[in-house]
Amino acid sequence: MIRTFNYTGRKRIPRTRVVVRLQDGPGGPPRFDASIDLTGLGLPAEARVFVEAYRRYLFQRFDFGSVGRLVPPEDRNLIDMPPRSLVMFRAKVVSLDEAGRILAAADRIIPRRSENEPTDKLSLLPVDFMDLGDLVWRLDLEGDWPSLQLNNRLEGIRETARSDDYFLSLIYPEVVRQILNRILIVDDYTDPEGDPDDWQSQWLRFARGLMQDKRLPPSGFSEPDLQEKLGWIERAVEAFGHYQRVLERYDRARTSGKPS
Amino acid sequence: MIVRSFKSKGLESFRAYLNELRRRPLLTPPFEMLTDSRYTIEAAEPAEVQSQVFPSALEAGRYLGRALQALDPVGLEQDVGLWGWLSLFYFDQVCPFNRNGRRVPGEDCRHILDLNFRFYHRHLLAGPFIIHRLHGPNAALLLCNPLHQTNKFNREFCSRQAFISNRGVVEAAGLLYFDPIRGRVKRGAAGTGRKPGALFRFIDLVRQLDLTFDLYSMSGPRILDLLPEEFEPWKSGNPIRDRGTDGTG
Repeated sequence: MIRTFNYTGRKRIPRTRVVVRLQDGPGGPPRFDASIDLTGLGLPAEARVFVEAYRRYLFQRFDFGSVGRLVPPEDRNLIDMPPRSLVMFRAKVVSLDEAGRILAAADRIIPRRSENEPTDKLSLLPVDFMDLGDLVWRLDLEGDWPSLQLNNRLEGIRETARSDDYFLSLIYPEVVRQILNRILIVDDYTDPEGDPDDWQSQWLRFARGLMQDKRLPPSGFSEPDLQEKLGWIERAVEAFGHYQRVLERYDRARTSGKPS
Repeated sequence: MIVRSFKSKGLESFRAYLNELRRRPLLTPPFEMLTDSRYTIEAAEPAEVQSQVFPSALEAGRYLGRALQALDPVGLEQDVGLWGWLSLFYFDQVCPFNRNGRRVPGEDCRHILDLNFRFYHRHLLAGPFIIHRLHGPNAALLLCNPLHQTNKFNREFCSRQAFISNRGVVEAAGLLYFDPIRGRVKRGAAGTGRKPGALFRFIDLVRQLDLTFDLYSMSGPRILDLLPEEFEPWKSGNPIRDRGTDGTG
């Protein structure tokens, strides 16, 4: 079982307190808005607040003023980031003293892409668009958060991933299987309460929420442990299939003869 | 030569050549593809590259930064076709004959850009271009090797987002481990294991410090001030005088 301990003394800013909206401007760089709620966290009013956008090796930092007086900068253009790409954010509260200590932080914030996305729900599977050569999709489990990579050489792939019944019924169950496999088998992460903000915790809670039996598999790498984990993963994928009505969707796409 | 970009068919043919080269190491590169419009298209904006020998990956990164400055850098870094074309153009340097008179291409991602975070930096031209763009002359530690090789600092830093994206951290590592007189990594700096003050201890320490201190706001010297005493010998010179690896491979 993986548990994390915070020895640094820095506070955690719940991700729900930081809402970032990202807009892909026509012809221009992406631009973001961020609303940050630091009330009641016991942070000094004079401490500085920064929002950082990052993607792989790219990084941009924005000064949002202080805890007591949050002032977003005028220029919030992400000039180094490719349009329609997956950009993650973090918010940091930094002490004014010379040491530059981090007093509080929220990391791995996935931005909302549209006004319609509710602010109180987190996206578990952000989507990234890139040239994948001859592949249609790929699951990236090496970044800060699992993401579904789609080949941007395919016209309309964004819409396909969002609403095509073939795509939804054939791809997403496998995505869920691969992610749970990584969490439980590779990382042996079985405690969704250990660090509730971790992507592993959130995916485990999501999967458990779909299942009748709310028990989680045991931690460990023994053969019985692995068998129990594999069985749990399959039951979770089945529950996902039921929740998403994947068979019905596949059949509908198949009988209509064309992707919906 | 005017810069071009491989079409899908060009990339496919180049990949096929790399495959065949593994079987027949003397196979001549298909340089004729470089100007063949069946395989290539012109780059979005006019740019020109010259055939030349780069003494190091750093020099290649610096040169490409200048040569390709007319192109949109955001789009350029993801242009798989263009980096494939450049690889073929500079193939004698990214895949030279080894001491046995054979070309050994290695993984495809050394020549055909793979945009996955684990692999992008392994491209022998896009990697130096991106790293030099991010860090300028401070990238010397990561790019001091010949173009067809990479070094351990490069591999370890590029696979960690918090390292490769942080100018202060890369500058600090350069101050500790790069020997500017010899133009190479100091001996013993990249050794395996948690040797005091060496690469993997630096990685451990910076990861810990990153949780407590706002490292992105700090310069290299300021980050060095946060490091414990075990790093002192590296600050003042090279603590290891005997023969050893410099991490190039």
